[in-house]
Amino acid sequence: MSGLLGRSALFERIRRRAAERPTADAVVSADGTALSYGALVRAVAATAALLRADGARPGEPVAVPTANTAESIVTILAVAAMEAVPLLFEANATAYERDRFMELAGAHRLVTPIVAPIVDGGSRPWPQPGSAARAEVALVTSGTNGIPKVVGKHWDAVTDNSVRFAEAAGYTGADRVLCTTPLHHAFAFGVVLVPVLFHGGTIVLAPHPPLPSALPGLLRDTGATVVQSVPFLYGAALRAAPGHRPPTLRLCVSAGEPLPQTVGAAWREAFGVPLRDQYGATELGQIAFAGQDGVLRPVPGVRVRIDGADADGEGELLVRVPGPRIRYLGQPELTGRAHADGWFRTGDWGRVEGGAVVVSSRIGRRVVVAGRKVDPAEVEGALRALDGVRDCVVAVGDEAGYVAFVVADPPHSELSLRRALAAVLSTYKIPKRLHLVPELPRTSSGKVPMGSLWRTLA
Amino acid sequence: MSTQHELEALVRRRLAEQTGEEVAYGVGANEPFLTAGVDSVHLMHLVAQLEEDTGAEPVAEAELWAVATSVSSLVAYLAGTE
Repeated sequence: MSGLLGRSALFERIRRRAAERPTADAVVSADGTALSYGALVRAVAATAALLRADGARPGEPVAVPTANTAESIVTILAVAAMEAVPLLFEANATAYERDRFMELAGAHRLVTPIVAPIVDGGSRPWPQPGSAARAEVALVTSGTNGIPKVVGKHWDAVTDNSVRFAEAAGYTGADRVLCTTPLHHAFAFGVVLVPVLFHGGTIVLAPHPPLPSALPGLLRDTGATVVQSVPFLYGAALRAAPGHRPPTLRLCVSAGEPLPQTVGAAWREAFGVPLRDQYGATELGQIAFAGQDGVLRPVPGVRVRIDGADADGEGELLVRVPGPRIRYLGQPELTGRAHADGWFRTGDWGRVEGGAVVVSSRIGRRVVVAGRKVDPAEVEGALRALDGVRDCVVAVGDEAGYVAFVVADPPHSELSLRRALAAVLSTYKIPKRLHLVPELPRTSSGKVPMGSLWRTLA
Repeated sequence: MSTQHELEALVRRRLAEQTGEEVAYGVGANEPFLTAGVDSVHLMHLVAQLEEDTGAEPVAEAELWAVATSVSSLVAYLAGTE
């Protein structure tokens, strides 16, 4: 036992809130319908009982294709309540992607999010402290080897980190937190789902994906006190509607990619509310949170150091969070490689100065598209598997952005390649442009020298 | 007031800035953007640009897919909110 707040503590807090304030809103959906704490607890218990009756067992991974809906929240909690392992991924994932996640996790059961009819007098499954099954939740992220990563996270680590972040952000039961990013990502999971329910506040689900121009109106109309979003959406909302201060808003949290200083400053100017950057990772949750001064500092409980500092004092950022370490389901060799003496290797480059964390860049080939990580090897593999595609390379250019160069037989065109890729991969993984070329140059070692390819675009 | 034809030309011209001309002029007017592999991030940029171009008021329906499922849905959105 790690002695940390874990799954049973989270559920105990939710149940206590339901007993004390049964009519308080737990989840407000994009269409305005609300689920109270009393209704949430009943729906979770009923859905968990249904899962158990269907044969689901404690410790078993259960796939939950997740959307930003109350049904998804109820189903995730129900899987956890019966001590199984929720495996979360985007509801719009392709069948190819879904099958790979489930295979890596060893999951044989998929539950389309539901709220089960509430029945009286049934047994009420609820997690107990010290249960025999490993208390995990599984989130997916991109890999670097062509295979996605399914991250098994212990609830002790998830709950501890989420609650400490919430303390740093000053969450209370009076907060209404507007969620604009996918719930199955660590950002929304750790900044909205777990800590808001722990503190008895209200999760307000924005339409997903939202229209950028709608964000100022949503902030005003939903009575949000906190909003979590990504730099792209904050920037687009600023351009669409330079606003006036929404009366109840007190805090805006940004993550997914570094927050440009200009966006943070313009936001504060337009809305009168601080926009604070957050640095996190799927594996660890919330690592660092910016203060009012804009400086990122580790979330309480989190330790950050660098490894292999260069002459500028920069190196790979290594992080330690309280609780059991993560594991990569289905890829145990990666779990070992990702850790060094109990520290997690983030793959991010940066430095630590007087308690401040400065993140400068990523190591390796992972591409970030509007805050979502993409593995070029996975995209190249999907392209090569298409009929008529003979060779390809995926790369990010300073000017060109995220593109592919493809050697393909007629009648392939850029549009036909996009259509074929869309059947296999989520659209955010598809390069912005797919350039057809007669052949790819190769060095004697088989590498593609990119210089001549970039010049063909000039 | 622009004609449907002018609006469609505007939508495709702005889409080309996100995806390139071949995709923007090759995608069917009613073909779902998702099956053509056009991502929501491209569409968010596109809608923001089109709202600026036409002075369209942001809609009450705040979900992207309510207005941006295809070229023709965007044309209808712009025509209805002018």
